[in-house]
Amino acid sequence: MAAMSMKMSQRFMPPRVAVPAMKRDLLDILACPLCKGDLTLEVFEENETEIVTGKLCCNACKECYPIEDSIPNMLPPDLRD
Amino acid sequence: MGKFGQQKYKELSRDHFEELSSHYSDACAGKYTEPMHYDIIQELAGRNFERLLDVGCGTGTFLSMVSNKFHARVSGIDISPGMIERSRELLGHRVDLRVGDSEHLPWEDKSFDIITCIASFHHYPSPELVLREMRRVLRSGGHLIIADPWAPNPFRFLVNLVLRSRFNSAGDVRVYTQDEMEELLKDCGFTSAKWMIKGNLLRRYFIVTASPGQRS
Repeated sequence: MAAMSMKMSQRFMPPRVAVPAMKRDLLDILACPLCKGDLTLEVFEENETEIVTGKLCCNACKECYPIEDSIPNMLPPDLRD
Repeated sequence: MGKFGQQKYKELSRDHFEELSSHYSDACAGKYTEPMHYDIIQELAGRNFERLLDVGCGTGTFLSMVSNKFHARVSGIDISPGMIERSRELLGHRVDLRVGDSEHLPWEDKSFDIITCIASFHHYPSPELVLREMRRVLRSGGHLIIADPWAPNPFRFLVNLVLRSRFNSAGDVRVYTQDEMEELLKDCGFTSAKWMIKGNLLRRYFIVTASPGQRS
């Protein structure tokens, strides 16, 4: 019985390799600022807690938004520089 | 609209706040916004919300107050990368922060229960576009709370005159009246606006609360 309870509790334990919090936030309610299309995340560098560098690309209008120093820059291209 | 094109106002605002970002809290503008934060925290007390977005979040001090006081997931957006860096230093990765333009919010429809906009609204060259975006990402039954500098006439007239001149270097667009704000909100699909004037003689501001109306 004890062994069985152990297995049950293990089944409901969170996975050992946690998904970085930033990644979950990013994909959760994300939309392209210009056309509101869905975005795909590409990760270049990440640590245990967040995505450090990467980019978010819109599946609809194909515009890409950089993630630098863990901060997504969602400004339209003409305001970025 | 004043002297500049729409893009120019945004660039002036971005550059102004980039420069201010290292010492905003100690600057005059930071002192001006502090009491607004406390008033809005009071407005939020007792409300039931899960997700809050602060548009023009600056250094993140208000978001920090919200996450300390309420069990809510908070998001912030600012046009200045420097301001978002300060927010990140203050809040760490527990908060969803983005550099972005308030006319183009990078969230899905109906993502938030509360949207706050503190001392940022007077920087928007197209306030209608911003309000429509806010309405889009606000859930039905949600609340928009805007706090912004206010002045009685003739001071408002003079300030707005200066803002339309070449002496405007911070990207401020105009100081709004109650009628102007209520009309803007109505035109952009918000209802049941509650209006308050707060602050002291030298630092007055309004707080307006509105909810999305029925979608047409």
